[in-house]
Amino acid sequence: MIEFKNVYKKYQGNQAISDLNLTINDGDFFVLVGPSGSGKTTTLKMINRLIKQTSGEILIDGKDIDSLDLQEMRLNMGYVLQNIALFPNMTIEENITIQPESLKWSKDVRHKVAMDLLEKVGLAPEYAQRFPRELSGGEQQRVGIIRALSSNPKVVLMDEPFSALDPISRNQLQELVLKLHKEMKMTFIFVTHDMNEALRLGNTIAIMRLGHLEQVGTRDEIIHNPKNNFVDGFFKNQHNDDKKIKLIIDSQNCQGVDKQDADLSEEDNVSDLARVLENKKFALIESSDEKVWKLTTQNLLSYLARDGESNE
Amino acid sequence: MNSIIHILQTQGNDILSSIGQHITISLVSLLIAAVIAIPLAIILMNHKRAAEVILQITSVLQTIPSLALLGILIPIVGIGTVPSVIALVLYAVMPIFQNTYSGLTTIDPNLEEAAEAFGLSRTKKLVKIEIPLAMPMIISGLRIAMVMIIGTATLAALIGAGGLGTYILLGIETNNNALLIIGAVFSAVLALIFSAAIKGISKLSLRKIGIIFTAVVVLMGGYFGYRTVAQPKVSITIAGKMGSEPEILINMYKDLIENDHPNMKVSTKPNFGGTSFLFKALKSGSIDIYPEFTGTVLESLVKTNKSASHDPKATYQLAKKLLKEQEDLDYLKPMKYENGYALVVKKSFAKKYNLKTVSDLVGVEGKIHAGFDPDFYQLKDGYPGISKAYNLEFASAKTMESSIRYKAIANGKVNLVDGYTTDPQIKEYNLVALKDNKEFFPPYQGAPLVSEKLITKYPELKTTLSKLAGKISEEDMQKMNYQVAVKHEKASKVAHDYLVKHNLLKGD
Repeated sequence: MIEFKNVYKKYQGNQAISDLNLTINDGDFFVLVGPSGSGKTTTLKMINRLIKQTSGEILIDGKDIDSLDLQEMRLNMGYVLQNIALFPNMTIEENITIQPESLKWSKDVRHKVAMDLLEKVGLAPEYAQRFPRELSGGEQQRVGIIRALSSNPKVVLMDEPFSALDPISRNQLQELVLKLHKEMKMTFIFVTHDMNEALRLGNTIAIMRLGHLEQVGTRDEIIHNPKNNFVDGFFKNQHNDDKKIKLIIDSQNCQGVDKQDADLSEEDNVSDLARVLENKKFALIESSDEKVWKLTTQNLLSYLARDGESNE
Repeated sequence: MNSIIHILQTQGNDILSSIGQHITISLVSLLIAAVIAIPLAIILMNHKRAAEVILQITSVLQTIPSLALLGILIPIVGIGTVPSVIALVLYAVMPIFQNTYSGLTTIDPNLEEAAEAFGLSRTKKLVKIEIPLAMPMIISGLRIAMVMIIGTATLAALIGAGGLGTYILLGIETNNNALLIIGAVFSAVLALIFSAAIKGISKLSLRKIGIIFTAVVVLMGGYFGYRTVAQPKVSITIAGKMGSEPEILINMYKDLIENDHPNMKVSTKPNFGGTSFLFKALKSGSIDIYPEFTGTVLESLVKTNKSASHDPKATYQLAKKLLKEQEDLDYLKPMKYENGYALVVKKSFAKKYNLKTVSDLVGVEGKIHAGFDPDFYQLKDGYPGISKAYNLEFASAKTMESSIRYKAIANGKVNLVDGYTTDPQIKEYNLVALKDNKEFFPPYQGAPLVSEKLITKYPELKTTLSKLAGKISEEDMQKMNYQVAVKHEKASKVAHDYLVKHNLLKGD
């Protein structure tokens, strides 16, 4: 159990966190969500003392974290970074087993751990000897996740781990962390700015704004009983672009193409399509009947224009 | 090109040993610099202020001209390999430190955060992550340092540490482009090879680099250890200034000493440096003997208020007395030849106008178009003095670089030049030096300059070295200089042949 008691954090006079009181239960999938500057990442990093609180106490299983041996505490805590941060000079196996090595586990045990974890996230054993640069972004973050699990920690901290990934990889990895959480029975503490991601993953969701905790509750509580306008608005705003690409394909005369690898599926959100079209002339969308559609910026604009009309 | 090949064939071994010296000095300096700079950067990587101070200091060191630095070091640590290595280390610390420091401090902060968050110890973080990630920068620092060291190490020749610089200096001194090219090209090639080797090493793992590093240190340690232990009991070091003439003389000294005293081992250090380096080296005991000219002693080595005598005997006596009084050095008897200024004309020209002495020029002065070294043209002891002493007025006299004046007379651009009496070009271009019959030019006689300590300990050396007293004429010396400097014969062989021919080696 992790407890925050009257925790404050000031950066050069600015209040980043004020009077935070929070309890995270063992085995929970706890999501901290909020817009940028809400203090969610600061809160996360105070747990492994990457950031030191200005005042207040943080307790793990009733013990003040300041009283624990820093290195020992960190060695038994997993950490996943937003930009993955695999060590480029080490093989995948060396990356995965960096904590077990520091914990002086034997070579055989470390090897077994690496192999088991690779298998769990669907990466072939030969990945063990590759270097990070040889892997795609999605594959790298899989390794980033299992690196955090390698020492079999009680607590795993994840700092917006999927925000840099493409929608398909993000989807897959969300599935994956849910599966891993179910299997490994650890406490996952997950930071995101994406309300959809929070709703999809979290057992408990804490919504933060400007260093304050706005509401903590289960998914249902947040959706059905938003405590205030901000929570309601934050949820709705993001829910608005929860519209599926399917709507565009259904409403317009889109161009079908030969079957090939698609960028997105029709179940993805319109906002995902907008993100893909930022960098490309067109996006390939796979529909449920296994057809592939070519969508251009023009398609998106026409859809948005008509969508606006119908809203009025 | 031909002369380069010729030099490579005849002096191949000497060049190889110079390359060896060059590599040794460079590697030792690089290793010491790396051992200082890399740990320093690691210690200071989290102390920005201190690191900046060190960077400033090392940058300032970098701006000191290498020659000045060597000059500063000589009174403190003497001459030879030690000051060269110190100077090179001082230069090499900066690029290695700077690159290591920026390599370590520009690691992606996310990786630092990850290492921190995983609870890695300071050492583990350094060994597993920071050093490997900084390695490309560290290596490039080492390569910059290595290339710089190999280039700068050519200056080590100036203070008697040997190396390829010997050939460059000798080439400049004697206007021999072939030697210059050999020195320059080999040091450039060395720089390329070592730079590539360091790059190759960088591809190996940290452990293998450690093994190679240890091996190099052990090998070098062993080599120096062996050299120190293997020194024979009585060893004498004879050095000489730049050029062929001193090299021939010191080889004669070596032959004579080793012939008379089989228990003594003589090592020669040809092309050891300029006058003041040698003089300091002799006084400090780094060397035991070197040949010096009487004129030079009075001019620049001792304090005297007497005006220079033009009588060779008086000059020698005064030089000997003052060296003994002021520096406690023994100046043995001089050889016959004088290596002083001379006026030189073509043999054919001399024959046509029946010229033997400088006085003979008086009748033909209207036909003389002279080419003089700029110094000679201005010095009191040079053209102004001699024209007054002999009452000469040449039709024209222009100054030209000393290196080209012999070519100018050979090509008929001028018909009289200044020169030194033993210059090999006199023989090479079929010239003749006119006799200074009024003894205007100050006398320059060569004689062995020896530390008093050595002579007291081994008085028999005096007899041995005095065998050359009154020997070797100007023509002999010209001829031998010609064989060595122009024909690239080995100085040791030329010296030996002379001694044999004149029955100076017993039982030979």
